Amino acid sequence: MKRLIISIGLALCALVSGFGQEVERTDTLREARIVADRVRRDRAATQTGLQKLDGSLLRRGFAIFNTPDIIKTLQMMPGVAGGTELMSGLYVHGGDGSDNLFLLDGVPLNQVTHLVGLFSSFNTDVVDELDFYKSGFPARYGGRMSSVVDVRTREGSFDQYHGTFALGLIDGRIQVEGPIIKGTTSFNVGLRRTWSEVVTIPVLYYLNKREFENYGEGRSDKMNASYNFSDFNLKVTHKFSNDNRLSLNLYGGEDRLPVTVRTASSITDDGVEHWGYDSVKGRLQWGNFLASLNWQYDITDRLYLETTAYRSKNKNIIGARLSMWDWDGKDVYYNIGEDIRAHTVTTGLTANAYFKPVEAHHVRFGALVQHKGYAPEREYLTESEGTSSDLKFSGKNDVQFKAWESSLYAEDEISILPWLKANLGVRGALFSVNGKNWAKLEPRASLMFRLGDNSDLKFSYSEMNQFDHSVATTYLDLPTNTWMPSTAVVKPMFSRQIAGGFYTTASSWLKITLEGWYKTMDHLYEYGGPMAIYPPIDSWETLFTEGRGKSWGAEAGFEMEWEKITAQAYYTLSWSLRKFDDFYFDWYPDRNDNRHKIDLLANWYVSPKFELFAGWHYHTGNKMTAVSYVVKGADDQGTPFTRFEIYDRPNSLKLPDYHRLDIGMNFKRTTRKGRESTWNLSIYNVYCRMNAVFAHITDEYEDYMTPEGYYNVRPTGRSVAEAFGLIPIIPTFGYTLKF
Amino acid sequence: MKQRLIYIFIFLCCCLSGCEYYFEPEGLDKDSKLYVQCIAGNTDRTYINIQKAMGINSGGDIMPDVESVSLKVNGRECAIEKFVLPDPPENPYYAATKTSLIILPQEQEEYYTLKRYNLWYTDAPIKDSDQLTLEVKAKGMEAVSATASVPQKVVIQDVKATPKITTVADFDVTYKEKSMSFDVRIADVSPDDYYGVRIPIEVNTTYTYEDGRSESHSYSAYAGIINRSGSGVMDEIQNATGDWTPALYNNYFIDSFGSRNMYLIPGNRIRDGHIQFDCNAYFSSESIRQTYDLDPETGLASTSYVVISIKGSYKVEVFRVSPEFFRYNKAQSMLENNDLASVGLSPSTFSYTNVKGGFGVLGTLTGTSTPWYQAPAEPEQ
Repeated sequence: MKRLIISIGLALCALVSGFGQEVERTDTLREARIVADRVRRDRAATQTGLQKLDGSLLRRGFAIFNTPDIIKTLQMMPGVAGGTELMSGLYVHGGDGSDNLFLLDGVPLNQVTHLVGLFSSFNTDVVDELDFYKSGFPARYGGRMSSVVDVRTREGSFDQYHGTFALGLIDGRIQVEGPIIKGTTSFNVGLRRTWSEVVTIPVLYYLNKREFENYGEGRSDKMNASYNFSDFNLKVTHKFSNDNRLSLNLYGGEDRLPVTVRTASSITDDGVEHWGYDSVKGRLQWGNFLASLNWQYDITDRLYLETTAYRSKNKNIIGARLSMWDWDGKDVYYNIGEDIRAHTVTTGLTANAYFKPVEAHHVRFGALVQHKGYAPEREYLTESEGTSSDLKFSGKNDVQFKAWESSLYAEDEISILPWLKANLGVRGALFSVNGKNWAKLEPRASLMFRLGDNSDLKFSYSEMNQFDHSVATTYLDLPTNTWMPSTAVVKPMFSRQIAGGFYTTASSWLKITLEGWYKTMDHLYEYGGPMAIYPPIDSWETLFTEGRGKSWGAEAGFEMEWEKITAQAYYTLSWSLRKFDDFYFDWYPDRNDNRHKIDLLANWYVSPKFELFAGWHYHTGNKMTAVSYVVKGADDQGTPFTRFEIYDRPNSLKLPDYHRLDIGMNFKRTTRKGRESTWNLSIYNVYCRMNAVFAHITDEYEDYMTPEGYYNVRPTGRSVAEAFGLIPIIPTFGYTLKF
Repeated sequence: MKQRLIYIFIFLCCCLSGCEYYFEPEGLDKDSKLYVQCIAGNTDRTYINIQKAMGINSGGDIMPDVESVSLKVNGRECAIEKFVLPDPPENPYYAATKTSLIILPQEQEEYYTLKRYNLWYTDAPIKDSDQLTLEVKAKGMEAVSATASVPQKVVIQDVKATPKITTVADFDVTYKEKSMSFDVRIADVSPDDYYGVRIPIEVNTTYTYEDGRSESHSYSAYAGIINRSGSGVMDEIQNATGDWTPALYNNYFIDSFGSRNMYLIPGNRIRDGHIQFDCNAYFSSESIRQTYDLDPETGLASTSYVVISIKGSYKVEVFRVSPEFFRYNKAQSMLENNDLASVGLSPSTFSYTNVKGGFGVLGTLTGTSTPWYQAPAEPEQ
């Protein structure tokens, strides 16, 4: 701890030594305007729990692997838990991580991460702005229970071509934008792809070659594997006039992991040596494809219409083939295969209107119709070739659900008095699946009291229903996970939340936000079966047990802005509980029940050529279930032994508190051609704290010296709980060129 | 600028020297609590197992000093006796297979282990709809209590048992497996209730040797419920073993002595009142002729033959069990079958309890049985 304090102190010294120094910075005014504008927009909104993030803010500062990440940025926000370290979990106000509505240009996305959750699917190069709602949801949003992440991509420039090229340690990105028809049609395209194969393919080629040289044809092992993910965003915008524009949005993202392992072995039969191969071929592939057409039309000065037609497809494919040659030396092969495929396809049409009949009323209303298809399937095969009676067993489990989700909403932002504003709305949703209809009415209300020029008081109430359920047997974001609808057995998840807050711009450089919330969640579902990587397709409705949740807490945010330094400090005090009768008779803490959470962030624009970022993150340790009691017996000699272990309640064990420091530095240069280039150095977990990811109970050992004078270890007879951290310090660097 | 870079350099050096790898969470020295298991129903004597659940690093006696045990049925106190295990019989195996909720050890050494257990019992009759209250006090420990109601009796409407031969592939070996396919139809299935099924079997075997000697053995056991991939029957068990939970598996007070072979199923998995499963039931066989070595030690080729006659019978028991009984057993099953959860990567595992102030379960059940049926003749392969 002392080392940590010294480290932070030194970092602060380095930061503070930059105060008061006059360094010219060309973009200071522009950046200040962005932040000031953001502050205004936050305060102007009636809703509680709203964070607006500008795309330029997302692309600045720290970026592990030189890849700025939307979800990891949101994890720093108050009221949000990040779950397992380095993963893209987003647990908002006690939510379960699958209850966040991610919208990309108004279209819902199901799979929002790459690399088992390490990266989010959003390429920040093309992101224009992002609205993040944790409470006070306006009626125009629905379908998820805990949060809304509304990401809007940027239109391409209508006047000139420019872009960005970035190369990180494991991936590269390029973004290009410009006019197709100058002044009327533009494009903005972003591509991102990992290039880890550049390392893995030559390494594996070398290893396979060496194996071949040592053992020869037919007797050497061989392995091929290459992981990669890629995604692309394309936005083409055509302006019929300043009031009338049409956009085509495409997004595709995919992770691929093909693996082939061939193992040679031999058997001698009647003095003859036979060689053969066992092989495993695996394929993991998962991702999203989204296409949408968006039409925005200002019909009059007071009426604006936005219509979007879209198709969003989420697919997960896992295939494995195990081929074995017969050990009796004959040419007999056995093939065992299994394929898991899960598709979720959503086709929808949404129309949203914004109408301002008089100055005091800002009315929004709209409708949404979605057709959803859920189609997970599991196919398995066992066959042999060359036996006296060739075998072939195959089977298939599949489930098909087709559902319609329709909703209507209306909301009115009313300026009741000069000091009182309200946003009142209602959303009606109808979900139909296999003859079962779920009709829900969701009232939404927000109130804002102006307390002078600089302060506001806000309150909100919202109800949300979620008709999609993430069917997962683990907490990992695996391609085995799938989405399923509410059915006659599985009810829609439901949340009810009240929130209130005080917002003030205390001075020209300080904005303070204080918020509190209380939220209840019904019809939560959690896997209640034995260990399984593949979710049970046929029996998911009954294997997932139903429960409730509740969460409450308070958040404080301090956002500071000086000439060269911006800083944010966020603190969250929260409780998150669960009650699943099948698990435990009483309420118990959620695994992300982090009592305290602190995020301290600072950007220091040292000079036009150098900027520095530091972020310190702390939260109370996550919870997990561990053995807490044992019942002992004794054998016929009276020697005690552990008969069985007792886990007294779920999530009874608190892991050690989590904290880490990240720093990032940007070294900016101007190339000979006048282009801006940036070298980014980011260090994740600077003081290399091995934050606990999991723990287990184990015997305690002690060192002792043997009579022969050697050191050895022996059990002390006691047990200890041992927690393991997996993520050490990760320094990364990258290069970005703007052109 | 140079000064700042030096600061940063020193800072990084401090940081890099700070790697840690292990942590020790707190809270392992907890006070001991009573662990009480009691399964009450209409089918057997009611046993109460009282143990001590000790904090992982707590020391002291491993058995509680029990001061009082009270079981009330509809508010009326039952007579409770301490259970004393008899001395081990000459052949514990055959004693162990007698049908009872307490299964006796199959090894003589295990009798001595079982004798150390704190077992109590009552012979008070318990029937459906009874309200039970259990209270246990032990010296120096928090008193515990539990309440439960006995579920309604199940009405068995029909039982169909069909002999079945399944080809099983085990890589290069194929073999035929014999089983009985059951279709048990029960009335008034509620999706909110929980059910259990058990197949007791009795086998009488007569050996008639070449020299005219004859000897007979009989034993009782429970058939195991099995499933086979791709057979089309019981696939749900294969994919969702949590639905069919072997009750009292391992962690009942008969732990390590074997399973009771009651399989549990929630009512919402029972379609139209039908409980369908395959079972490794025995078949009857009039004559199996086998040859054997008279003297296997010398290996002399002096063989004889024996005619084995097997007469099997079975019945079907169906239970309605309390939700607590189901949850307790399902939780135990999960604990033993979810390694991912033990490291926090899968939904929580836990020990279910409805015992206030302690651990364990007061579970109830009501069973209904069919008459004994003669096992059919072994089918042609």
